[in-house]
Amino acid sequence: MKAHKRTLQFLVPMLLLVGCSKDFLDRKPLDQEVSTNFYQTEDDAIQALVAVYDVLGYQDSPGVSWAPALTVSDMLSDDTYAGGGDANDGLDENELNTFNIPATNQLVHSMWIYNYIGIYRANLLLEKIDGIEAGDAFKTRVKAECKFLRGYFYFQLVRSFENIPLLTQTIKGPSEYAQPQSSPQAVYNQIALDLLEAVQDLPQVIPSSESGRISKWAAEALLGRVFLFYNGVYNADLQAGSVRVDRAKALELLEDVIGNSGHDLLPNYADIFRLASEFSVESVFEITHGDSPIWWDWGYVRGGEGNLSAQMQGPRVTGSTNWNRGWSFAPVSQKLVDALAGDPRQDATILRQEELDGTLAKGFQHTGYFSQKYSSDAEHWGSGGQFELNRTCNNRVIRFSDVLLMAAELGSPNAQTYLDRVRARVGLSSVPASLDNILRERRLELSLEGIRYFDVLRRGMAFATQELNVSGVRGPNYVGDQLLFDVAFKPATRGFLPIPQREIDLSAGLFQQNAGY
Amino acid sequence: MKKIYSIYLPVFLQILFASALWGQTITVSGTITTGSAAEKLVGVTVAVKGSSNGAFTNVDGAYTLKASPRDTLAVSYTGYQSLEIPINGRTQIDILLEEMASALGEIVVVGYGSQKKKVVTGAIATVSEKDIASTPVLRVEQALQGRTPGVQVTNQSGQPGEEPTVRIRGIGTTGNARPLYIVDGLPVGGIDYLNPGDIESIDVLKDAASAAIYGARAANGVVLITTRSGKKGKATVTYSGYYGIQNAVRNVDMLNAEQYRLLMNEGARNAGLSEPFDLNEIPTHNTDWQDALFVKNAPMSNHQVTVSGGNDKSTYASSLSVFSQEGIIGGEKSKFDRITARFNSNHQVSSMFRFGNNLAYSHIVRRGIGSNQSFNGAFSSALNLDPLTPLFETDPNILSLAPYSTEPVVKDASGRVYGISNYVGAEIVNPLALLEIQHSETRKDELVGNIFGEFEPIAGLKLMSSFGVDLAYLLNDGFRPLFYLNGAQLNVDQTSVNKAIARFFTWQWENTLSYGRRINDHNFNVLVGTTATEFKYEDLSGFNADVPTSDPNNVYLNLATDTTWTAYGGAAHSALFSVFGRINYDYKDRYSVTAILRRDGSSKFGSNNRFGIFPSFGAAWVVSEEPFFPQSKQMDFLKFRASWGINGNQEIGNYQFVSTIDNTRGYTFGSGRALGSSPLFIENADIRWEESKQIDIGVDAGFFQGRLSASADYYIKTTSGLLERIPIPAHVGNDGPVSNVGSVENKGIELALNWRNSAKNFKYSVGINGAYNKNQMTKIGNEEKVIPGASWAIAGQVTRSEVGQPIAYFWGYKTAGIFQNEGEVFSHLNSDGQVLQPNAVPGDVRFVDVNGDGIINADDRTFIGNPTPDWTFGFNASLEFKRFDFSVFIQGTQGNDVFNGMQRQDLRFTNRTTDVLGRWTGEGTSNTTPRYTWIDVNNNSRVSDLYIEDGSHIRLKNIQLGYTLPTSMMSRVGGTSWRFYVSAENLLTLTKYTGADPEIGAQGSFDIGIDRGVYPQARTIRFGTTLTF
Repeated sequence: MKAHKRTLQFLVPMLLLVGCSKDFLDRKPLDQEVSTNFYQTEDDAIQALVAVYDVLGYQDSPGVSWAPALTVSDMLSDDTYAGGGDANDGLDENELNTFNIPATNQLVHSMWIYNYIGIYRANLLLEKIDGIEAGDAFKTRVKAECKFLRGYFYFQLVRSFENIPLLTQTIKGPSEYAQPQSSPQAVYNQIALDLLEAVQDLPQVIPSSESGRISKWAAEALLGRVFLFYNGVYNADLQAGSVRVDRAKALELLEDVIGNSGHDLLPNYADIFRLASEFSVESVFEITHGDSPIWWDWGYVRGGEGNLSAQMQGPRVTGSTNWNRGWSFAPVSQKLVDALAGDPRQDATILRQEELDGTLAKGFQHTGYFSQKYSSDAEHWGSGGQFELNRTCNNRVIRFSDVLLMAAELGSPNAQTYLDRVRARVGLSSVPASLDNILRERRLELSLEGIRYFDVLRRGMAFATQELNVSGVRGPNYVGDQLLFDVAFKPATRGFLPIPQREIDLSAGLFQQNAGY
Repeated sequence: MKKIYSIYLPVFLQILFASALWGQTITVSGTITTGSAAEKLVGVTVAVKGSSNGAFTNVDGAYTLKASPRDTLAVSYTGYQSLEIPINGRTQIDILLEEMASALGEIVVVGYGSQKKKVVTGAIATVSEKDIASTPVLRVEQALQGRTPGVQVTNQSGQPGEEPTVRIRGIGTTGNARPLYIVDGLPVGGIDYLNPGDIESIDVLKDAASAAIYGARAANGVVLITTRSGKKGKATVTYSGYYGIQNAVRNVDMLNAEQYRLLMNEGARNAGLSEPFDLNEIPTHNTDWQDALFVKNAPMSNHQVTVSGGNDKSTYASSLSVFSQEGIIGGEKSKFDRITARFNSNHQVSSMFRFGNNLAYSHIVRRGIGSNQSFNGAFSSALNLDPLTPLFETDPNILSLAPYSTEPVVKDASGRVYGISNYVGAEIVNPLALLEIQHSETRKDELVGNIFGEFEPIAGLKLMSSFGVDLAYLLNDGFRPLFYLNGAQLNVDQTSVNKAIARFFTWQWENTLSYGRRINDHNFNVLVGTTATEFKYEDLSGFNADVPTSDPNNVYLNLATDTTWTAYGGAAHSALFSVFGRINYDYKDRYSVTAILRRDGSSKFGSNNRFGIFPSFGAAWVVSEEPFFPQSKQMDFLKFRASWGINGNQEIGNYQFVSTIDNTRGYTFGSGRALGSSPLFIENADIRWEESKQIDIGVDAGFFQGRLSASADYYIKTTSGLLERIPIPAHVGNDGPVSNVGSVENKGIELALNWRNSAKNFKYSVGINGAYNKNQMTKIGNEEKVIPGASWAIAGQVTRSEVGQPIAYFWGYKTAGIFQNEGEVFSHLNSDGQVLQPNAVPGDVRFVDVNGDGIINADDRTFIGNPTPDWTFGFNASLEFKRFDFSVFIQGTQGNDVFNGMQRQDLRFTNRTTDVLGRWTGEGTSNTTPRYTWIDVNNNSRVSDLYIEDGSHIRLKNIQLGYTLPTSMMSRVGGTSWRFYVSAENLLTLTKYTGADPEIGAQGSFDIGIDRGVYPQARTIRFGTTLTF
C-alpha cells in the first residue's frame, strides 16, 4: 500500500503536466509585437506608414550592396565614372560605368530589392488601413501617401529595368510567389493612377514638424517627370484609370505646382545643397537623411538614416578640416566640367582636387573632380557614430527649377519666363526657350542629381549613343591608362539594366531577360 | 549508475550467503590482471562453479575464497571474456583476463536505460573510454571521428574550439543537421563544456528505431554520452596530463617577389594596360606571408585529476581539469581555455530507493578569428597579399609619408609598424596587422547537471524521476581600436567597446515508470514516461565609443567617454512536452523486438500543427542461438536486425508560425525620427514537424571465438517536410517564412570489422570501418525546385540544392580546356554555326553550352562537384608488448570535392599559387590554366569546374607509443600504475588537394567544402602521462 501511495506521488505531477501542456506550449515572442495584434490603432498605422517612408531612405539591400539610386544613375551617365579606392573596390560600379553589366551585378540587384520592399510595405498598409480604428481624414491621407510612395518605387524600378512584375496587393503565400513581368505600359499607367489619386487627397501645406511627408505638389511634379520619361521612350500617353495623362494634363499639373504651391527658387544656387536649405522653398520632394539615431552597425546599414551617396562620392581625403574620408566613387568627368565651363553653377557643382586640404588618396579612375552637391563635406558630418553611416544631407529629388524646366519643355505658354527664371537666378541672360536650350539647361542646372542619365535615354538611342560614348577625353588630373576612361554605350539594351539573375532563377521561368543581355 | 547496480548486487548476495564449510576446503587466492601491462582489475567476480560461493577482487586486484581442491573457479567481469579454471589443488591462482574481443557481451545505453547488446534491435555504435582517451581532443565530437561507420565528423577548421560538423548517416535536413546530444539523460545545446576526459562511453543511436525514444529531436541521430561513475572500493586518484606543440603541416606554394612582378606585368600587358613594375629595379622585400603568419610550436596542454571510489552505499567520481590550446594562426588571438569540474555520485539509501547526481561546471575562455572566410580572413589574406609588401615597414622615408604618417597604422607590441600593401586592396590586408587589432573574447560559465531518484517498490518496477538543468552565462567582449589596414579596411574616427551578456537556461523534468521481468525464457521490459523541457534566454548588451585605453584586452564600457551609449536587451523562450512508451521483449536471447511510440508537443509550432507522433519498431534474430545453428569454431555468432521508425526535427527559430513586428524601420521627419514598424517576414501558421523515416537492416557476426567480429548495416532514410526558409523572389517585398519545403533521401551501407588476438606478452587488435552514403534531394517545394546555397567571395552562389542532386552540390560552368589559337575560338560554335564565345582570345577558357541553347550564359551552370564524401572510413590498430603499447589511427574520406576558392581571382594584384606558372602563354602551353590578364572579358574566373578539386584524403590522425612502469616499482611509491606516452597527430595526410587542408567542415547546411583560405589543422607532437594511486 505504502508503495502505491508513493507511486501516486510520482504519477500525479506527471499527469498534471499532461493536462496543462497546452498553456505550457503556447509561447509568443517576449520582446516583440506580433502581426496578429498589430494594425489596430492609429498609432500602429502611423508606425506602419513610417515603415513605408523608411524605404525612401534605402540605398542598399540586405546582404547585397550599397546602391544609392542617385550615384548609380550618375555612374551610368557621362557625368561621372565608377571610381572607388582601387580597381578592385568598384568592380560592380565599373560594370555599370562601362555598360558591361552582367545580370549578377550586385548594385542592380540591390536597387531591385529595396524598391520592392517599399512596394510591399505600401501595399500592406493599403490592405490594413480600412480595418484600423481611426478617423476618415487620417485614413485618406495615409492612403494617398502610400499611393505616392508606391508610385515612386515603381517609377524607380520601371525606368531602370523596364520589364518588371506589377503587384498592387501583397503576396499571401507560396502559390503567389511566381509572378509574370507586366508590360511597361501597365506599370506606368498604375504609377499615373496612384499619383493622380494621391494628388486628390494629399495636403497642400506640410507643417514644418511634418516636413518630409508628401505634399500634393510632390505628386504633381513626380507625375510630370514620369510623363516625360514615358512619353520620351515610348512616344505614348499615360492612362490613369479613366483619366488620360497626356502632354496637356502633365503640363496642367506642373503649372499647378508653379502657380499655386508657393514653391520658388532659392536666390542663391550655391545654397541649395546647404544644410540650412533642407526643405527650403525650392524643395518639392525631398528624402531625409540624418544622424538620428547615431548609427554604428555595418551589418544593418539601412537601420540608420545616413546618406550613402555622400559617403561614396566624397573625396578620399584625410586630415582635412572640410572634407573627410569619402570613398571617391563617381568621380566627375572632364566632359561635364567642359560642359559647365564658364557657367556660374560650376563651382557649386564640381569639387576640384585643388580645393581640398589634407591628404588626398587618388582612387580608381581619378579625374581630379568630385561632386560638390552630395559629398563628405564638414557641414554634413554626423554628430557621432560610424562617420560613414551618418552623413546628414537630404536628397533633393525634385527641385522647383526642375519643375519650371519640365513645364517649359512640355510647351507651357510661359516657357520663356520659366527658362529665364532658372537662368536669371544664376545671373545668366535669357536665351530662346527652344527644346535644345531647355534640355541643355536641364543638364547644367540639375547635373550630379541623378537626372542626366534618364534625360539622355528619353531622347532616343541615337542621342544616347552620341552622349554616352566617351573616348579619348582626358582632363589634366586624370590618373591611369586612357582605356580606363573610355566607355561604349550598348544601344541594344536601350539603356535598361539587366533583370537580376537571381530573380530570373527564382521566377519559375516566368521572367525574360531584357534585350541586349 | 545502472551498471554498478547490476554488477555488484549479485556479488554481495553471494558473499552473504556463501557457505563456508563444505567438507575439505582450502583457501584459494590470487591476483586478476589484464593486458600486457598487468593492469589490476577491481570488482571481478570469482565464483566456485555450481555453488553460490564466491568473492570479488579488491582494489589491488586480489581475491580470496574457500573452495574444494576439485572445484572449478568461474571468473566473470563485464566486458571481459569469462574463464573457468579448475583449481586442481592449487592455493595461489593468478589470472589474466582478456578483454572481450567482440562487443556482443556489452551493455549498451539505449536511452532511458540500457540493454544487452546481443538483443538490441537497432543500429547503435559505442565508442569506448579508451578510444576517447587515445587522441587529445578538445571537443567530444572529435573523439567520434573515424571511430564508427556512419558517423562523419569533419573539423570546421584548425582553430581551437570550433564545433566540428557531425553528420550521422548523411545530411538528412537542409536545416540544422547536428545530432541530438544527451549527456547523462539531459539534452544539451552544445557540448563544448564537456571535458572528454570525464566520459565513460558514447553511444550513437543511428537508426530511427533506436532514436525514436527521443522522437522530437532525433532525426539527425542521437549521441548518448555517459560520464564516469565511481566504483566501489578504495578511492583511486588519477592524474593524467599532456603537453604538446603544434605546427603548420605545410605551406601553400605561392609566387615569390620576382615571379609575382613578372606575372603582374603580364596581366597588365594582356589587358592592354601599362605594366606596373620596372623589372630593372630590385624588389626591396620578398615576404612569405604564410611563414610570417604561422605560429611556431603553439602550445597545447591538459591536466586532469580524477578521484573516484565508494562503499556499499555510495559511489562517487569527481574530476578537475584544465585545458589550454593556442592556435597555429594568431596564437593568443585564437585560443581556447577550459576549466572543468565534475561531481558524480550515487547513493543506495535503502533496498527500494537510490538517488544520485551528475554535476558539471565549466569555464571557457575563447578567442577566435575568422577561420574560413574570403573577406578579412587572416589566412586568406596571407594567401592573397603580394610578396612585395614588408611584414614591417622600416624605411623612414616611407614612414614619413601617408598613410603611415597620417593614419592610425597598426603596430605590434614592440612598436614596429606593420607594412601596408601598395598593390592589393579591398579585403586583403597584412594578416598580422589584422590579427593585432582583434580583441574579441567570449567567456562562458556553464553548469550542467541533474539529480535523480529511483524508487523500486517491487522487484523490476522502477519509478525514476530526474530533474536537470543547463545554465550558461555567456559574456562577449569586443573592442574596436583605431586602425588603418588599407584604404578600405579602417577605423580612424572613434574607438568603441561593446559587451554582451546572455543567460541560457534549460530545465528538464523527466519521469519514467518501467517494469522488467523474466518469466522462464521470456524477458520483457515496459517503459512509459513524460518529459517537460523549458528553454529561456535573455540578453543584455551595451555599446559606447571613444575608449582611452592602453590595454586593449581590458576594456570596459565605463571607460568609454562618448555620449552615444546604446543598450539592447531581448528574450526568448520555448517549451517541449513529450509522452513516450517502449516495449522490449526477447525470448531466450534469440528473438527480440522493440516497439516505441512517442508524442511530442513543441512551442515552435503554431496551434495548427503543434504535436507530432513518432513510432518505431525493431526486431532481431540471433540465429546462432538456434538449436539448428551448427556449432563451429569459425562462426560462433550471427544476428540479423531490422528496424523501421519515424523521427522528428524541430530545429528552427522560435515563433516562426507568427510574424513578428520589427520596429527598427524609422524615418526622419521635421519633428525628428519617427518609429516605423513592419512584419519581419511573411507568416506561415501551418508549419509542422520535419519527419525522418528510416529503414535499417543489419547483421552482426562473430568468428573464431569472438576474435573477429563483423557488422554491416543498410539503411534508407527519407526526410520529408524539410523546414527551411527558402529564398523567394524579391518582388514579394519581405522575407519568406520557414516552410516545410522538400524531401531528402540518404541511402547507405556501413561496415565494421574488428580482429583482436593475443599471445604471451603480446596483444594486438585491428579494426576497420567504412560507410557509404548517397544523398539526394527528392523534392523541393518552390517554383525553381532549387534551394540556393552558399556564396563565395563576390561570385555569388556556388552551391545549391536541387531535386535529383545531392544537398549543396557545387554549381557552375563546365569547361572544356583552353583555346589554343584563334582557329579554336572560331570553331567553338553552336548548332546555328555562330561563335559561342566571340569575346574570347587564345588562352581563354572554353566553356560548355550545357543546355545547348546556342549561347553561353547563366543557364549553363550545372553540377560540377559534390562536397559530401561517398565513403568515410577509419582504421585503427593497437599492439601491446610487455609494458609497451603502440597504436595507430587513420581516418579518411573518399569521393568528396572541394571548391578551392582560397584565391581571390576577381581582384587585381593578388598573389597566386605557383600553379599559375603553368598557365597558358602560347599554343600548347596549357589546357587547364588560362592566360593571366587584368581585363578578363571572357570571364575566365567565373565559377567553373576549374575551382573543383578532389578532396578525398587519408589522414594519419594519431600515432602513439606508450610505456607503463613495472608494478613493483610503483608499489614502492604507493601508486598502482604509471604510464608515459608520446603521440603525434596529423603526422601525414595523403590527398590530391592542393590547398592547405582538405578537411573543411560545414559553415551551414549549404556551405560545405568551400575553401576560402581555411585555417589548416596543426600537426601536434605530445608528451603525456597517466598516474594512478
